[in-house]
Amino acid sequence: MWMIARGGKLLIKRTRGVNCVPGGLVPHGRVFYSVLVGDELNLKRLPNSLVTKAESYSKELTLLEESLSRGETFDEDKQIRYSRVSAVTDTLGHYRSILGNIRELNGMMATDPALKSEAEAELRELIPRFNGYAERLLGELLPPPAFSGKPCLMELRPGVGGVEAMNFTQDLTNMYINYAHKKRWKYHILSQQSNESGSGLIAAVLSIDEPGSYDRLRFESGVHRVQRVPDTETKGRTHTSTAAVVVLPQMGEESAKEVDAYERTFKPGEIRVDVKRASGKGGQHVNTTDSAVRLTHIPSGIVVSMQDERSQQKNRTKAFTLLRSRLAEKERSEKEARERAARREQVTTTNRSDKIRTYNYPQNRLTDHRCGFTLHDIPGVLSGERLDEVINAMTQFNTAEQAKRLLNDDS
Amino acid sequence: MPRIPCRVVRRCAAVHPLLPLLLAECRTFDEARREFQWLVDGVPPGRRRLARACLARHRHVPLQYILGSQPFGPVEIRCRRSVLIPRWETEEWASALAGRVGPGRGGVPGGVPGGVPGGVPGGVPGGVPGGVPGGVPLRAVDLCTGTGCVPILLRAEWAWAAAAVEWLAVDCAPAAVALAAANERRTRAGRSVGEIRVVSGDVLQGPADCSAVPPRIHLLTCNPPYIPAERFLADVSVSVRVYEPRLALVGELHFYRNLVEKWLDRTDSFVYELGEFKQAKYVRDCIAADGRLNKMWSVGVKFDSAGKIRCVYGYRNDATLDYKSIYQEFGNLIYTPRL
Ligand SMILES: C[S@@+](CC[C@H](N)C(=O)[O-])C[C@H]1O[C@@H](n2cnc3c(N)ncnc32)[C@H](O)[C@@H]1O
Repeated sequence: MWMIARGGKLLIKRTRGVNCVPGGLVPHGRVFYSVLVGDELNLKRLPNSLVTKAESYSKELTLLEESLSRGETFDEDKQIRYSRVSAVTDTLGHYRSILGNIRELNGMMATDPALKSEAEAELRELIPRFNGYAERLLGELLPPPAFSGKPCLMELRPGVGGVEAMNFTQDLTNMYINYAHKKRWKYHILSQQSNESGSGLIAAVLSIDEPGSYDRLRFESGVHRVQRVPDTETKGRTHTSTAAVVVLPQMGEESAKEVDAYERTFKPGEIRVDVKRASGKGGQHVNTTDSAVRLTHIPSGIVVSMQDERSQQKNRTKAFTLLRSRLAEKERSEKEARERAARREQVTTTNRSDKIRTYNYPQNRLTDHRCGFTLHDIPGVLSGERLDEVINAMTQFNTAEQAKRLLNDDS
Repeated sequence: MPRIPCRVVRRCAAVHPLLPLLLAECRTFDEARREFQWLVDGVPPGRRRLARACLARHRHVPLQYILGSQPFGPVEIRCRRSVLIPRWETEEWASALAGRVGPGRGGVPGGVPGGVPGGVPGGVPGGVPGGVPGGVPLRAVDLCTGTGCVPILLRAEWAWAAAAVEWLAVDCAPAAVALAAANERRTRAGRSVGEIRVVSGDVLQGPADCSAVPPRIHLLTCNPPYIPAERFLADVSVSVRVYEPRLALVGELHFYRNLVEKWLDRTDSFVYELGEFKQAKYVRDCIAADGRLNKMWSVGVKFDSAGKIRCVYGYRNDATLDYKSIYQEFGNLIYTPRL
């Protein structure tokens, strides 16, 4: 955390190391400090190497616009590149001009102490704007994440902890539903299996239909841990249980037509469709109601099954939707792993089995272990109200990580 | 029927007192749970109604009669006692058939062999058995139609071709004729084009007996009664035996013989559902043995996704439409015409 504005008041600290921030925020600022140099009053200045990189975009923009004025046509890639390069150049312009103003004010304060209070007031207003541009510039320089515009599917499953884990799976599912509600995002439950008492879930697949929700929610993937006293616990002991969340990009519409077209992209023999049928002669001999469909993607061994609907066709459509998302996610993570290997980077990102977050009820505390963010308001998060704060912390952390990488690539 | 373990019964009872009743038809806890949910969603609200539904299920009444419907491809088919409930196997081949002849599908890339791609005024658009030259509509006839599910599914999948297909559905049971007509009307949803004519008639009498049958049938579909009488007790589940009409179930080679003898001459292509290999073999052998038919017809069989042989189909190679490409990946050919 470089600087936190709370209730409109700016907390300016002169520490260059890790800031201690009130409100239960554990700083994870180390990363940012290595990227952003705060020389004056916690300015989030970008290192020169990044500014140089941004400058190269201005040159590219000039070239692109020249070819535009020559009347050249841009294909889709070029159109996207053009808009990205324009954005970086525009932000860089603001970044520089505000930085100039700040320097001037500093100079003024040094030469004429009479103007100090006036200059300070102006600085207080300029610094957050400057930092905003710095952050935006950083974001624009980073490569856009895969599937960023996609809606998503969220798969939730209990981990260790028996019934309590199922209850927690239900709580998490509700949390994401609440979150979608709060954001006015369309969502629907693709499938869900309750446990016997109906208090918890054995599995759930949530479809968040909002474009871009994958990008927002992707860091929710991983093992969530809960520490609390279950309702059934008589001796008042705190139990630890887990639930796993997998966030997948949604690759197409969940319509029979779309799924049909998708199905035809597979080579014959790549997909096995199994319908769970009792033995016997089938056809007119029996009238089964079982409409479960199971898909196996032979090359990857991925298996998906759907059974909630009475209509076999609907189950099939849902199963293909889920399979498609799983395959896309698999491809993405493999690509990421390859890139990481190419950089010979240590594996620091979490994999599926790592605990990413703890919900500690006795302390009313939530901690994200990846970025070190802590918040003392579990009900607030589970109701969806304050989940954004957690996600923001994680997104910032990720941006910083990526920025670090960008710099390493440069040197 | 294997006994349900006490453990499963107790598990069900723990969830809801009515749930164990469903174990008569559902074999497992999960299945019972799922079906219970469908009942809760589908039966009008009220504890008494729900209890009655579960009791009926306990007496093996088919779920589809209790809920009054069965999803079938993209449509919902109403079901009533004394008319056979559409099966998933039928849904599967009918969907596959619909998919074979759509625009840009499989054997009919982007349009109509021998027709105009993507829509023919007064003819058959985008590949429904490929646009009959001369502006003739495609004529589809479904025999033994029951609820009418097969042509209704095909029509729903070929919505874009509504004006280019002429439909006829035949059954001899008054209850089936009435229900098929009602289903047809409901799924047409007020549109005036694409009506399926539902008529009462005895299929075994052949087309000569029924003036509604067109002189040329491009697509003949039929799911005839195919369970041999002597296997009725041994092979048919209680629920089917007690609650579904015997007239819809029992038959052996009758309808397959009737196909070859009475319908084939008017037909360009056919798909018949079946229960045993011998029914497919019978059709093939009849065609192979006939010095005229054996130079015209290709015959194939289609398996369902449970791996059981499920259809016999065939098409004329000398017809105006390119049936060969239409049926290319529908099933597996077991007979090609003599040269
Ligand atoms: C197996 S059911 C098929 C119903 C429907 N096509 C389906 O797939 O669900 C057979 C149907 O054939 C009808 N049927 C039996 N004998 C017939 C005959 N001789 N002529 C016309 N229909 C007959 C029965 O009334 C029944 O509706």
